[in-house]
Amino acid sequence: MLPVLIYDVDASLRAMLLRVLKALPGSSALKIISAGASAEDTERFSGAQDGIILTIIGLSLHPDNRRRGLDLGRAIMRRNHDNYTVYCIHELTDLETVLAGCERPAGILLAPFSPERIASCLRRIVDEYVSLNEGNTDASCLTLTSGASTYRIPFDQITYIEALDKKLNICTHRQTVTVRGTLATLADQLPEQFVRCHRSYVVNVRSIRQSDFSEMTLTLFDGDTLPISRSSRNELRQRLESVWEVNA
Amino acid sequence: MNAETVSYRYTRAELSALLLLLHLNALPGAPLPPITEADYRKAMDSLADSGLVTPAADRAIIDSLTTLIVSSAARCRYYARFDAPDRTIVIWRCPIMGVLGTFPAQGGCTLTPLGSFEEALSVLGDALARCAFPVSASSPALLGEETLSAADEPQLNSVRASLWHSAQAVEAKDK
Repeated sequence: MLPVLIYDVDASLRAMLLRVLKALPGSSALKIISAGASAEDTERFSGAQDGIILTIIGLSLHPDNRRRGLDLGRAIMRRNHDNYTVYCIHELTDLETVLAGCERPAGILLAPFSPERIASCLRRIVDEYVSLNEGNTDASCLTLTSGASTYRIPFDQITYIEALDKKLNICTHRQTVTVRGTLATLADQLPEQFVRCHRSYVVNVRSIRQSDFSEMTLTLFDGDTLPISRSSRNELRQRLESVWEVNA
Repeated sequence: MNAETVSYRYTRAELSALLLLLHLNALPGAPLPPITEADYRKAMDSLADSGLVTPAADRAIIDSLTTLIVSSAARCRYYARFDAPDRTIVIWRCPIMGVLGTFPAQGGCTLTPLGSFEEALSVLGDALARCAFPVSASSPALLGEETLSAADEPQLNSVRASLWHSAQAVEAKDK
């Protein structure tokens, strides 16, 4: 279960949040621990939970309450960087205040608040939580660390991996994560859907839209083009033929 | 494995659409052409499909880090731009971070948030290592009207060093 704590939001927003939380797909994975408690009590309740928690913090217009809200969010994130924190803010200027702490909130809701926006934000968090705890096992994800945070990228989302000097760029449709390492060391962790097309590239065969063995290039669904090396050509052609025949 | 940096990939139309959505001006130094109504709609649908903005009419940006990166770069204190035949690279010095943007000639773009402008300058070396020559560097705030050119790697290192010194001088003046 994902414990949920709500701090310092007014009664109408609190009611809206609770309504949205109850209506979310996957709401059975949520457990409301507190809604409307003081900063001290909210921090105490949060400290008593095992594992990841979701805290929704309202940053009120009152400076003291706003400071307490920011302090609470930072304390909770310091305790566990994987915790989810969502801030409800009234002023655009608070955006930078929230993000300047570099705590990487899981979501920011900006007034005027609407059930649709709240649902979009919270649904993503609940989906991720459920997927991390039930769906994606270690065998289906590449696990990376960044400081105190852990990233898990499902292999299906990786389109290709590029080696450059002693670094690797792990590319998905939306992100490129740079890690220190070599293709040789990573190759053991990759499932069969990945094949080497060049000394510097390993490609996910499921992300290839077109192969051109006369131009020696691969075009991916997102438009990226990768080179094919002579030494990889035969193996790549065989792999593609076997995969595409099966799918035909 | 330890992730050193995480970059965010967009089409240029998507980046322009995000700027419009956030009511921001164009990113300084970025090669972003004006966006048409049709491109805007297409870009927004793509961003909604990726879960970056809500698909509903309000089109709110869901990802807070995307909001931070784009809005920070748009309100940067100063920037430096490197033009190579195959790509343009821009680094922005923002109030709480540095952002490195890569704009390949064939389209698309990548934004990488970094802890500081200094960190961005140091990561710049990796980005420039991929550029074809010649490379020209310009930075209105750091270098004035001057444009520095590099025909090879040693010259490029010297351009970077010059930019680094200018940035440090401005930093010292700011403090």
